[in-house]
Amino acid sequence: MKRGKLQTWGLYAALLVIAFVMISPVYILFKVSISEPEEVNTAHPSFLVQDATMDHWTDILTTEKKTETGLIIYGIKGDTYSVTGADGNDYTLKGSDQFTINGVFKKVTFLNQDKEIKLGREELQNLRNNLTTKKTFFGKKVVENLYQPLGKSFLVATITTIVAIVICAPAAYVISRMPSYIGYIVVLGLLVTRMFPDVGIALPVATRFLSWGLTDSSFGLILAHLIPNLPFLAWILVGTFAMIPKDLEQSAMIDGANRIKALIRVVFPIAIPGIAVGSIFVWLNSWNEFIYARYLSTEVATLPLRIFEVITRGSIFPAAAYSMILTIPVIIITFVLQRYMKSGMLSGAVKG
Amino acid sequence: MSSETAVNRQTNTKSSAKWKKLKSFFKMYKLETFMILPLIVYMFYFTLTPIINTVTMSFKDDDTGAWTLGNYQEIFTNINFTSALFNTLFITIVGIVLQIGFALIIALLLNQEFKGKGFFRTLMLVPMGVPTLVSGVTLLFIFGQTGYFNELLFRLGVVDTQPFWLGGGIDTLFVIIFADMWKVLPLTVLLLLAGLQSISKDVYEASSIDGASSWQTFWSITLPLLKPSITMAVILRAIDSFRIFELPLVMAGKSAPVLSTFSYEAFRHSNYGISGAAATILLGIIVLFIIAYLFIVERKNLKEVK
Repeated sequence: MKRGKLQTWGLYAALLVIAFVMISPVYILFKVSISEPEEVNTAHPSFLVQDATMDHWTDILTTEKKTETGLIIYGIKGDTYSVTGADGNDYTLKGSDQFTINGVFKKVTFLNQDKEIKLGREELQNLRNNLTTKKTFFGKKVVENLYQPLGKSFLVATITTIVAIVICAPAAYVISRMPSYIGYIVVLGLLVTRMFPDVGIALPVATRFLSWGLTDSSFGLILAHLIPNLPFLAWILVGTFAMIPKDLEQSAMIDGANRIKALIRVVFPIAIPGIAVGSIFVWLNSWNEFIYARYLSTEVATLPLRIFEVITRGSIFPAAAYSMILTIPVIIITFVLQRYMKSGMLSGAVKG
Repeated sequence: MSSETAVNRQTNTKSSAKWKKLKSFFKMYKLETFMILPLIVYMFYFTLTPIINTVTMSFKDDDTGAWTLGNYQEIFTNINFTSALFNTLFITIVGIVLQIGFALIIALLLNQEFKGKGFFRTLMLVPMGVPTLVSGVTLLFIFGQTGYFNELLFRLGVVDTQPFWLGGGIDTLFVIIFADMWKVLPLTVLLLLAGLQSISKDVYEASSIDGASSWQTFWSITLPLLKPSITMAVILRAIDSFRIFELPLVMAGKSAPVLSTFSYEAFRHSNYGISGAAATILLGIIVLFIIAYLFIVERKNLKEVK
């Protein structure tokens, strides 16, 4: 059916609107991550970037924090707000001085000793409303390392995906070739195991891992991430394999291939689009995963955990920058793998 | 004594016959057994036993370990729990209706042939790459009181003041629904798109030869053939939506509790029984929905496969 010109324009208009809604939150995130604090911390934030700054990025990419005058302040001593700079000198701050921690303005009175600084939403709002200075001082609690949580997140997501494919692809194939009634029951079983809320499973798993010494370990987190992802991937792949006709592998076997060869050479290659889609979901699930990580990690954070720590502290700018770092590889992966997300090659295989 | 051994022998031969049957079954399906076993073992040990643990935990007193219904009595008199229950149901039901509708529209658009299809498709996938937690953070920037949504309304002249969307109540729930929808639309679209693409082109060719209008084609060909994908998407989304956790946690905190966050808060305060009870109720609701689904949708399929 040929489309009219008007319909084509309508199609593009609809697509543009949808694309705008899909993209704009990511743009806002990016915008916040490169904005001067006063451009965002105001009653009327600007939509376009007016004054781009890489400060927030440099702050998290380098673990050292610099003040506006180039001083690195490591420690804050007691109620006198005496701070030690990188040059070794001590500086005294007044209680009414304002400072920023990663872009969020706070009064120095919040900097009592080494206490962790937490701000409620209203406090934050108050501080934003009377910001006056651009002075930037950092307590040593704020100094964070990006690379450790980044590495952990990447490792866990990748290994979880690989293990999930290795376990699920063969199992899903078997399920898809079961007598339809039994296969149906098994698929329903997969569905039921995927139903249970993570908060319910994570609790007993957390106590189990504690006694095994798996808390904070990547291995433990991989085991945990497989819990929701195995039935998920298996379920998706059963659908994929079920669409591959049995005649295909049988004709391969008639042509002289044995069972395993027929599977590896004929069946699995056809299933690759389905496996690709499924494993992208698994990778993203694991990369985004927060609940198990929260239950199973005490010291060694994943990137989502780190972002949660930062945002609950009210530091929106590094949260935005961290979030961008978390988002970039996923966009690249999605872009690279999307051409495999076609199930069209299946019909070609049957016809040929 | 001797009769006993005879009985034993009899059962032994009986069971060994069964065993033989089982053995020959496994011999016949050696490869299949080997392929499916890891999945079954893993799910048994890391899903089934924790589920049982949690359910038993909900019926036990934290301190004494004695069987009790006290945890359930406690949460049903807790106002936070009842509002968590309402919020969860509201977010799920309203959210899914909106999500499936929008996802179907987008999938149908993307299933057409047009220039720049790959580009648009990639753009659609972008939210999938944003961690749920981060989408909460981002939408916090947007729906916060001095956020970009209020600024947009202000510039369009819709509002003079800045409404606070995240203070609890229905508007907060709608913001959470929007956040959830934004995050998961790509996934739902992909599921529906895969379903659309699995529909053979021949069917469409036949219908266009028969002179069917595009609306007729959609209504009597696309939609029925897409039904399995839609039901799959609905269940997947319902499950995830009931378990919604990060978005309410980040965006609304305690002003809009849901069952998961309620359970998590209880866990954080070491009230394992309470946490287990909330999780068990959450499970119960989901099971109810699944049973309804089985009766409404799957009963026909079950008869067919039988």
